[in-house]
Amino acid sequence: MRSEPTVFVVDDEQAVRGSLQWLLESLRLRVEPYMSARDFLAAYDPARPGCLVLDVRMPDISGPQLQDILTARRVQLPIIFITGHGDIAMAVRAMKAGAIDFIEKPFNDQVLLERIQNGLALDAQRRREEAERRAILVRLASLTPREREVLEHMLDGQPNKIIADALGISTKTVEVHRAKVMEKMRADSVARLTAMCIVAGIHQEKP
Amino acid sequence: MVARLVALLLLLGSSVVVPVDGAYPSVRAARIQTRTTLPSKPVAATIRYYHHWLGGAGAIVLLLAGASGYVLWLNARLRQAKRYLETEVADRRRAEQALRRSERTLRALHGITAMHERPLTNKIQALLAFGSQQFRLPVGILSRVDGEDYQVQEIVAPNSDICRGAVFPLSRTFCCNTLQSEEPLGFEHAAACEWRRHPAYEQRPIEAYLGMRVRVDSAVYGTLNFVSTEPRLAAFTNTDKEVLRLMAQWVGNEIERDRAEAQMRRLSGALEQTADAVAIVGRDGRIEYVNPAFERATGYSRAEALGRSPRILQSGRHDADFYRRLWQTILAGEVFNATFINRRRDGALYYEEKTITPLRDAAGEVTCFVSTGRDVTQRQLAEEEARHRQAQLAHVCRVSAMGEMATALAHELNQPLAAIVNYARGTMHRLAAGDLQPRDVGAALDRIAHQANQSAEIVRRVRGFLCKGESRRRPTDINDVVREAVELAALEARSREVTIALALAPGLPPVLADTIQIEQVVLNLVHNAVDAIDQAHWPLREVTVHTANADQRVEVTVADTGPGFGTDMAERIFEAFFTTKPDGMGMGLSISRSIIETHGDTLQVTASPGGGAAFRFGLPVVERGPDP
Repeated sequence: MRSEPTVFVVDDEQAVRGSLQWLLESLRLRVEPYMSARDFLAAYDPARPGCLVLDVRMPDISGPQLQDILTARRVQLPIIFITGHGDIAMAVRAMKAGAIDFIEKPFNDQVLLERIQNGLALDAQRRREEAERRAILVRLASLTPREREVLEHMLDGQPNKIIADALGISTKTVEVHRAKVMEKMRADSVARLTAMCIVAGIHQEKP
Repeated sequence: MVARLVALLLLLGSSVVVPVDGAYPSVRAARIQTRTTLPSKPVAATIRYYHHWLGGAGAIVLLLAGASGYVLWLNARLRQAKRYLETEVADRRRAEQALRRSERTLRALHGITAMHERPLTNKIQALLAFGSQQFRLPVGILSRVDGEDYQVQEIVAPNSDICRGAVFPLSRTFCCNTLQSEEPLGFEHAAACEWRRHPAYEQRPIEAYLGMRVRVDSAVYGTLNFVSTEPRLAAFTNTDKEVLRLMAQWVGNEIERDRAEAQMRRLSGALEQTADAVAIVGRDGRIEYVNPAFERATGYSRAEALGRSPRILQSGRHDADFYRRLWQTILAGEVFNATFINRRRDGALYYEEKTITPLRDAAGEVTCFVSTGRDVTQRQLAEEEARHRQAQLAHVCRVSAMGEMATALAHELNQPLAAIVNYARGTMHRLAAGDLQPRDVGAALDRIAHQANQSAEIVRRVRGFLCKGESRRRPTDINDVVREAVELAALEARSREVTIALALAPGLPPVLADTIQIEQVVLNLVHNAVDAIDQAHWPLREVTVHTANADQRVEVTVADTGPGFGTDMAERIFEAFFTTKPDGMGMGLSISRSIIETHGDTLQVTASPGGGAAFRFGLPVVERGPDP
C-alpha cells in the first residue's frame, strides 16, 4: 500500500479533520488525519506519495512553520493551505515557500477536490521525475572517463572530427565512443541525450 | 384736752397761791389782835401753830411744783412731737412732689414708648430729648460699643460737633466705665473730683455725666448717657438714676424688638418670594398656607388651595406604596425626600423634587408639615434624554465592536459551515458511488446537525449582543454575563493566540444591571487586552477575568499580562475618541466608563509598565426580590 497516494490532513479542529475525511473517503481517496504538526512529523515517511492539506493557524507549530521544517528536510510533499483568515501577506509567503495552493474557508468542496487531485498528480509527477533522474545518474555513472569526455563534447554539439582533434584520438575512436555513450545512456538522439543531461543536472541550457 | 385744762388751772392756781406774801396781809389782818402782844414765841412755835397751814401750803407747793414740772415735761414733749410732725409733713409733701414729678416723668416716658408706629430712630430721639430735659444735661447719646469702637448711634445735642455715626476709641470715653457697671454711673462736677484724671476728660471737657449700659439679647450693646460741659448744681437723685435705668432697659428692649421684627419681615419675605413652592399642611391633611411660587407651579391660587388636601396634586403616576411610605415617614417625624410627578390645575404633569419636613411644637409633638419643592421637569427630561442617548451610543459602540470582530466572527461561523458542506457532499458522493451505508447517513447527519447548532449558537450570541433596546436593569448573575462576553471575545482571541482565563467566584449574589450593557463593557475590556498583547507582539499572552464579592458590591476585574502603560496614560485612555489603534474609533472605554457610572459605580484602571493592566468595576448587589 506504500505506493497508494495519501491525503494527509493536519488541522487542530476536529470538525475540519472529520468532515474532510468523510468527504475525501467518499471519493475513494486515502486520508490520514493528524491533530498537530508534531504528530504528523513523527509519523510521516517521505517515501510515501500523496499531498498535505494543512491549516495555517495551529497552536505550537503553525502551518507555515511546518512548511519550513519540511523544506529544510527536503521533503517535497505538495502543500495545500486551508485557513479561515484571509491574509494576503501570509498567502504570498506560503506560495513563495513552495505551497501549491492557499484556500480560504469555507471552500467550495469541488475546488478543494480539484486542488487535491492536482496535488496528488503533481506529487506523482515529481516522483516519476525523481525516479527518472536517478536512473539517468545511474547510467551516467556507468560511463568510462573517456566516454564521459566524449559526452561533454557531444553536448557542445561538436562534430566528430573536432572532438578527435581535441582529445588527440582518431575520428574512428570517437565514433566508437559515441555509439557506446548513446547505448549506455539509452538515448536515440543527441537532443534526447541533451535533455537527459539537463534533467540529471550535469548540463545547462545554453542561452 | 383735759390735761391741758388742769395744767392751766394749776398754773393759774400756782400763780395765785404761790406768791405767799400776797396772801399774808389778809391772813394777818384777821389775826392782828393777837399780834400786838408780839408773841415772844419763837418761829418754831409759829411754825407749830400754823403747821397745818404750812404743811398744807407745803403740800400744795409740792403738788404744784410737781404738776408744773409735769406740765413742762409735757410741753417739751409736745413741742418735740410738733417738730417731728412738722418734719414729717414737710417730708411727705416733698415725697408727694417727687412722686408727682415721677409720675409726670413716667407718663412722659410712656408717651414716648407708646409711639408704636414711629420708627425706632424717632423714638430714641424723643427719648434722648426727654432725658436731656429731665436730667438737665444738654447732650444725650445712645452709643453702640463693638470692641474698642464707640459709635454714636443716636444723638440729641444742640451746638455740638458730634454727629451720628461718629466713632471714638472706647478708652477715651467715660462710657468705658459705665459698661462695666450694672448701676447707673453719674457725677456732677468732674473737675472737682477724681474724674478729672480720666482720659476722657482730656478729650472733651465734660463736667457732668449720667450714663447706664444698654443690653440687647443678653449681650452688652452700648450705653445711654447724658452729658454737659457745665457742672451740674444739684446732685443726681436716686429717682434720676432709676429713670435712667428704666430708659436704658426700654431702649434695650426696643432694639431687641426692632431686630426681631426685621428678622420676621425677612423670613416672611423669604417665604413669600422664594422660587421654591412652599406649602404647609396640617395634621388633618389640609393645606394651611401656600406661597406665590406654589400658586405659579400648580396653577391653584392661594384661595383655591387653602383648606384642600394635597391630593389635588396627585397625578396617578405613583403607586399606593409610594404614598404609604410618605405618610409613614412623616408621621414618624422623619424628613421625606423624593421626586414627585404632580398634576397642575390644567391637567399638565410636571416633575417636582420635594422635601416634606414635619414641624414640632415645644412639647415635641408633630403639629404640621412643611413641603418645599422645585420644578425639575427640565432636568428630569434632560436626564431621560441623556439616558436614551447613552443607550443609543452604547448600541452604536456594540455594533462597531462587532464590526471590528467581524473577521474573527466570520471565521467562527465558517468553520461549522465548511464542515457541514463536507459532510453533505461526502454523503452525496457515497450515494452516487452506490456505497452509502445507513449508519453512515446517520453519523453524517448527526455531525451536520451538531455543526449547525454551533453556528446557531454564535448567531444567537451576536444577535443578543447587538440588540438595541432601552436600558433595563434587572437582577443578574454576573458570572453568566462574563461567560457570554468571554465567549464572544474568544472568537477573536483564539485567532490571535491569546488565551482568556476565568476566575469566577461561585455563589455570588445577584446584581442590578443591564445585561447587554455590562456584557459590552466586559467584552470591550477583554478585547482591549487582547489587542494590547497582540499589537505589542508580546510573548506573555493571557487575559484573566475575575469576579468577587465585595461587601454590597460584586467586583469584576479584567487583567492582562500585556505591556501595560504608564500612569500618564492611565486617564487619557478613558477620553472619548482617544485611541492608539490606527483604525480604532476610540469610544470603547469612554462608553464603558459611562455605562458603569450609570450603574452607580466607577471603572478604574491600575497599570504597570511591562507588567500588564487591570481594569476593575463594581455593580450593586440587589436584595432578592421580584423582577420590577
